[in-house]
Amino acid sequence: MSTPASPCRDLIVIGAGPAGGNAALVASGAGLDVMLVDEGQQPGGQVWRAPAPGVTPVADADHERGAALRQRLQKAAIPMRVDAGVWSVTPSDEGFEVALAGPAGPELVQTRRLLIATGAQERVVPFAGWTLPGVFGLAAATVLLKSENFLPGRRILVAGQGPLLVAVAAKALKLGKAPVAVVDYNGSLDWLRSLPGFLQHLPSFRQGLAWQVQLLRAGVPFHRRSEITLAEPDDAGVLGSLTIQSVGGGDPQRLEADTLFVGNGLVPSDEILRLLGVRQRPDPFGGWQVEADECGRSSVPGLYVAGDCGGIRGALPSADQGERTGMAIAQDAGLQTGTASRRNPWLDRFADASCALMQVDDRRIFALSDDVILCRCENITAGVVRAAIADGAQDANQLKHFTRLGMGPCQGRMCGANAAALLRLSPGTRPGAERLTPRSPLRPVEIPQMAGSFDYADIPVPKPAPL
Amino acid sequence: MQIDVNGTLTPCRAGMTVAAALLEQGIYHLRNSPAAGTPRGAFCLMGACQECAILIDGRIRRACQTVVRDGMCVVLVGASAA
Amino acid sequence: MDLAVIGGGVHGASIALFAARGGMKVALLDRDALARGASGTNAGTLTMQMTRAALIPYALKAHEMWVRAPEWLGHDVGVVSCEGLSLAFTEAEEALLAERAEARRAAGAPIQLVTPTEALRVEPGINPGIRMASHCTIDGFANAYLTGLAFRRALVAEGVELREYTEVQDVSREETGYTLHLSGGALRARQVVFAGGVWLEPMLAWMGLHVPIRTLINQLAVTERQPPVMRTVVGIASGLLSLKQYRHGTTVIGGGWQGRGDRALNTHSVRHDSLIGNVRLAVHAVPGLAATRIVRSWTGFEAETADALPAVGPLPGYEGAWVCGSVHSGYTSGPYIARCIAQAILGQEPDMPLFPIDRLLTSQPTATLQGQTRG
Repeated sequence: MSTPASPCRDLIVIGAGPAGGNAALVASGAGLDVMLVDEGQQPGGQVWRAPAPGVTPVADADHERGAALRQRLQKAAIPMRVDAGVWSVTPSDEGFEVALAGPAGPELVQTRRLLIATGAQERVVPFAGWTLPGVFGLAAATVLLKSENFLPGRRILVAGQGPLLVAVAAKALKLGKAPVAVVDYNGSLDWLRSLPGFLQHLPSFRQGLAWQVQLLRAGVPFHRRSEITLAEPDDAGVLGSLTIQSVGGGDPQRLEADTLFVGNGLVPSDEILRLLGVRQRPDPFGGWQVEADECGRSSVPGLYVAGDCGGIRGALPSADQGERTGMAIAQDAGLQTGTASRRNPWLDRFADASCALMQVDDRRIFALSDDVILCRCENITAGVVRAAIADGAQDANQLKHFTRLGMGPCQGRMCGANAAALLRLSPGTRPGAERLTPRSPLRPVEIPQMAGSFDYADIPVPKPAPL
Repeated sequence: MQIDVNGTLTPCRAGMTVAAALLEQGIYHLRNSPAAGTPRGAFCLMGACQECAILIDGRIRRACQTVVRDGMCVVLVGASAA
Repeated sequence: MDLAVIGGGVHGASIALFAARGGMKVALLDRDALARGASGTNAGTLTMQMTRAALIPYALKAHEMWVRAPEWLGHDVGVVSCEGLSLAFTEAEEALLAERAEARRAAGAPIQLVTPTEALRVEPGINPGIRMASHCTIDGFANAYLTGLAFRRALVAEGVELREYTEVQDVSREETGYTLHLSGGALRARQVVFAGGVWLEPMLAWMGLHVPIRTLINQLAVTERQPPVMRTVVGIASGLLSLKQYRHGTTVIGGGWQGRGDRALNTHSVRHDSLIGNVRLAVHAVPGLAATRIVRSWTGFEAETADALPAVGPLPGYEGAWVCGSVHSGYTSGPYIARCIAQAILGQEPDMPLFPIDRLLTSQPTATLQGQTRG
């Protein structure tokens, strides 16, 4: 195999966000040979995302923490691969083989231990027209705000559920782009129920409250217990108007808008973990969490997990977890470390309060009308999925075979949670079989990056098949 | 700094992603859905959804994960099947 | 039941279908859903150029059946009929290609050796650096993942009793037929067919017969949709490459590169180096693939007997018991081979000879041949 040989590492950390970055620092500090890999341009993940060069960052807590992490990583001189996609991981004799693809071609790296800290991705409850250009995820807004301190569009609408909704709306306001409306699936009662949990972390609570007050003062219209039910195009074929519907009934309201940021919570980015066969259990707020001890040891020896990819908890618990797991990895390798911090129950309650607001009931998906697109890549509607289930599809993989749902380049990331919800509520579905089997490559890989440069004579050709 | 978008020179700043550069110029329609032929644009901006996978310097790349380079060649509506 | 068929892949499902149409009361059992093994996950290639010479006559007839699938199956399974090219890049490959093309041509396949210029006319998408190619006018591919859905509808319409997610744990002979011992009960039938793919070896062991079946672990990959870069089925002299681009724009890359796996545990997984090697071969053969991305890779089992020829025929010493599998390019020839043995099961003379397994029997259980040298 003519790929460059690499030394076997003690630890590879996949994901340089709050969890992975801190774990790498602790493990490296204890004396382990660590390699840190991230797909982005700089460490920080999503919540602690770095501003692009030359962009004046908004001076908030997230930025400070991210800058501090990046500084410490630079100082510690931990070998990093940024702008590097991990496309596969398999068990190997030493422990694990990590397949990377970058501009130079493929790279296979061996490691004794592996820490997955790949964070989370957004979940969106679809509606008619949600694939129109101009409709973005809610987290997409934070990407632009943090990296560019900018949001596109003239008439912005912010919708969905969870604390992020308020954060994005307030930051849009601060940029001089007051949202034409904020549409929150949750009602006042839901926020009140989460209040005790939010009070467990006063700085965050105060920030959230300040945002709400700013929005109120600016007169930004709030639609509570409501959702977007329709996005319609303008003459150019991009987003032109949105229809807001109150969950309890009543007349729909149509607003002109050219930009929508919509998000309904987070799901763990657990593809690598599932590929390696870690045990998971249902998350009380929906979705799945990894069965791991408090120090991130999973059911697979040598495989550790930290941060949201193991179960949604948010950035602060993730940072703590990263430290604890880094220490555990060093200790498991026989090295001395300091004492790990204990899990912070107040942060956990804060996380619970956030997750409660981000919950999506399966029945919402089950009730989607036939024409709503579930699989964006292959344009598969809820109606096609229902027909396949009626045709006998009893699990996600069969559904994939019958309809092509999940066969597109996003590899089920956008549709997986929603297809699972629909399957779970269908009587014929086999229990526990509502998720697509994870497959490598874990992300689409450009063929030249996978092939690298090679001579035809390099390609191993075993003896030909029998004639 | 400038990138070439469908033949038009488009201003951008060093260090920003192609997706951010396009959005800053108000360019939302990036490609057509290969399956449906309908207009699509960037969605998640985190590298997960693949909706911003367009032709950048001759290869299919996610615009949200690709940093601009002076003179970079970006072709929109170029990732659909025939 | 008149007939119980164990194994719901293309062989088992086709046998069940034809037997039911012949008037039998049929049950089809599979421990998973239909066509979730090799039949649902293979490359779907319907080529003569990777088919063993001895099987060419069967593959030609099966090709006709695949093209006419809407008539007998009620579903087109995405079948595309097109031309095929097998490429030679080196002198050694030229010699290999010439030998193989001639053997297959002699067996009835319309194959001719062509110059690079002629090959490029047939397929503008190939690497112009080839030295020679073999050209077959009968080639094509199906959408393997549609197999399960297609057969399910046809079987249900034909009144076959479909018992999916039903594991058969043993089979015993009775006075008037066979009893299939299931995890939650039993099923009795006058005749039984073992169509269990790589698991034929443990299945036949239930009957005290020892037929070593080697388990190959074939690896495949698929790209995302792109504008057309090829319009034929493309292979290579050594047989280690199969390429086709589907109507919707994705290209499936295969050729028998080996992954990892364990038949007993029913697990298999992709090997990184096999994927990289396969992709290198693919982009070398069709350079237009450099413009797209690999979206998914997967593995599946393939069965191979000791002489790499099919195990299709009656079970020696057992009246009314049959085996059908390990055909080598089993998907390509599947429906036709299945129809032939269905004829025998119905008491008719099969249109073409079967492949009796007496030649494969060993006297005692051998160590299982796991997939090795083909990658």
